[in-house]
Amino acid sequence: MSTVNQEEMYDAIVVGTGISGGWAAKELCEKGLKTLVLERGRMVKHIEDYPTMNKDPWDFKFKGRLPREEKAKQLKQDRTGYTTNEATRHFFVNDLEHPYNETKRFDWMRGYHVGGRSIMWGRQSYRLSDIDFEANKNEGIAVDWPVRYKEIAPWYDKVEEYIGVSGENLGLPQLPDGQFGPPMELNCVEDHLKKNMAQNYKDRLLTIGRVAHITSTKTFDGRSSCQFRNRCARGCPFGAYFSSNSSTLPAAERTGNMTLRPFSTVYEVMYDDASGMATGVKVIDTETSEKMEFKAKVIFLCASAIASASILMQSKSDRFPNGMGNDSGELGHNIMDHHFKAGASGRYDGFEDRYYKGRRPNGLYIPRFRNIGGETDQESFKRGYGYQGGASRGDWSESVAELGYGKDLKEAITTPGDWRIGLTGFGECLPYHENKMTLDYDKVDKWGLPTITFDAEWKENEWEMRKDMVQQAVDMLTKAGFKDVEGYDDPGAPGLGIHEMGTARMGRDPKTSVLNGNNQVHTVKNVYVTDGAFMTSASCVNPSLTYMAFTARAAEHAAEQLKNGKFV
Amino acid sequence: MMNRRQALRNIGLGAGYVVAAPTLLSLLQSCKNDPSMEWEPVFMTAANGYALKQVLDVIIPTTDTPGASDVNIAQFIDSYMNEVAEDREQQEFQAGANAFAINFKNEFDKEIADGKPEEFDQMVAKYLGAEPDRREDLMDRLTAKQDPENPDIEIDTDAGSFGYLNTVRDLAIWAWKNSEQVGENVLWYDPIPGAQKGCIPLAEAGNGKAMSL
Repeated sequence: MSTVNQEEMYDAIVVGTGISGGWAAKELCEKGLKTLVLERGRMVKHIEDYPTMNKDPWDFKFKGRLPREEKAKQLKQDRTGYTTNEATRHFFVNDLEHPYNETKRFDWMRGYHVGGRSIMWGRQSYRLSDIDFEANKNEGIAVDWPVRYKEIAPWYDKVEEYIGVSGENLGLPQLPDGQFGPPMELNCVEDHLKKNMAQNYKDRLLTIGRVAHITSTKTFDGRSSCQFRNRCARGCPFGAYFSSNSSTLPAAERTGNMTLRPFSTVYEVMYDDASGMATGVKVIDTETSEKMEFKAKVIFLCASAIASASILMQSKSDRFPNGMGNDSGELGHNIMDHHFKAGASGRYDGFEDRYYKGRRPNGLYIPRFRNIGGETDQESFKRGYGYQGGASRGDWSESVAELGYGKDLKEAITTPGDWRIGLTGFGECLPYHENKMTLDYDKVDKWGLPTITFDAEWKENEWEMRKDMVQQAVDMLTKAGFKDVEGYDDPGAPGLGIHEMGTARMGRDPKTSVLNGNNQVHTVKNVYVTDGAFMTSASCVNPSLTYMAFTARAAEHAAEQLKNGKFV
Repeated sequence: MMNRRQALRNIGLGAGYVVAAPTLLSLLQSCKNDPSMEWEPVFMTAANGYALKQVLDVIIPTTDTPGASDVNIAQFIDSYMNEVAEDREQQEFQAGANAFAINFKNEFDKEIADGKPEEFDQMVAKYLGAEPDRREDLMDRLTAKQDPENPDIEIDTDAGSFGYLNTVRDLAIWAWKNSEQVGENVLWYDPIPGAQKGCIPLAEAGNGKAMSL
């Protein structure tokens, strides 16, 4: 890293260092572009800055739970139920310092530090298919994606090969195959369900999750294979799962072309009316509150869907009084997420003499089987969902009432207990113009920047789909002989899936979309937005792999444009 | 200012939870500074802390593996209640401990602070060793909804004791399994598995012990 020069003209500026920003940094630097990478939070160095990576429960004062006083700083981050424990809370924001407003409840989980949420992400990695890319067009919903699968497929290949994805190819039209390392193993009860489903259903199957973990013997720079500790969200000392910190940022660094500046909140993209191009960004140093400007020929916004939209909305000019690139009025609208936590759980009596080894950082996956043509088409809802879940053995504490106390209790709680299984659907959410975010300039944060107000909700299609998510899960488990099968539906609120997206959607027409098919702002061609903001529809699969593929593709496009003198 | 009755209603406790009357409380607190106590709790009264420790020795006794006392579970629960538990959980725990103390006094005609191990043994047996029918009855009484028109708290120290001991047991199991001695030496401690096997015979997996981490 070199010192940052405000006078220097960089080739590129990348805003954000998460899943997308890391890829933008790597690709642009590797193409020889002098790149300034700006991150609003603190530095997190791979391994060095993972303070809890080797801690056992007893190394924490309260076995990982947070004292009330500490928890009070992260009450919104705590809505997931898993983000604010002592092992990972330092990777989630302090809600008191980073407030936002909710016209309707919105669960906004953020990590402000180098690496962003690529440190704590779920690592599930699936491709979108043409069923997804064509859905809006076929159904007359929102606008058409300006991209089709064959254009993005090679970029999925490239990303999967680079980050390392473990999984199984299935040849499904709704879930394209990929470049996978060896799959992780299902356990006995999951395998039982898989076999049973193969007998009972023609329209669906069960596989192991596809996750961004190294499971092959292939060499990855500075990274090694998964050790099955399942402590991923703390940062991995083996670099076994993909994060910006373990992978793309070191790659960018190695080129000598990257300047990384933490504590730098970008709040505006500067615009030059004469050229119709962006000239750089305005930044607040979050430590000193000093304001500064950096110039570059091309800007990549990778700050996450909400933050990138917010930066564009703050970038007002005579040409763009409602925010940069917002001729369509779609900027900040069409917020999507995945709705989940609807499914079923049950107990399996059997396999008492079987167990497993290793703490698999992954679960089972049942790919989408609704609305993919023919008999799969549903009357009551559009699109579909996939299930994620898993089986494991408990420790008898669920039947502790029977076990009383004393020696018998001790015996019971130290031996493997009942097998239990859980399935939760991850459903596609439609893009609704009225699901939106706005800026509140009356309520500013401690740096004087406007706060974000959310106004988004699930609608009828999501509610109808959830009924099916519960019913099908109950049916599959019941047919497979599970006991005490119980459906559940715990909708939470948009944002809880931590897949917020869609706030600067791609499209073919500047009148109805913010970005074109290359992730460029239609009307300011040297500004690219490659985080979740670009998503035209959500599909039902975890989105990070798609952000990476589109980012890599956009970076190549930008480098070409620069080379051809388009952005001077 | 909310009156006590209103406060109790807002807590929304079932009839089994009891906040002991002030006179009883003062009795229970009488040995707060008794120097004979080997450990002074920060959240609980000294007497209730003493009782908690005794009860834990019955629920998770020292055998060929460590017991509750060996891994300081009472101290852990007390500081957990002090620093981690939310208001409602704190109030319920305190009310439960008080119900148990009153119940103990009714049973043995002496203060809980003077209780002998065999007496705590009897109390634990009475509740955690109860037959299913009785457990169900106690659970019903514990979770019975209060009538908002008639918010007088019926002091059901019997159900309150049952609820308290269940809470103590749940916390104790969690704290015990996540203690270093148990986590590393009793359970199957495998900090870096290195490989994953989906389905193996139990005998080949940690000597038949449950996973620690």
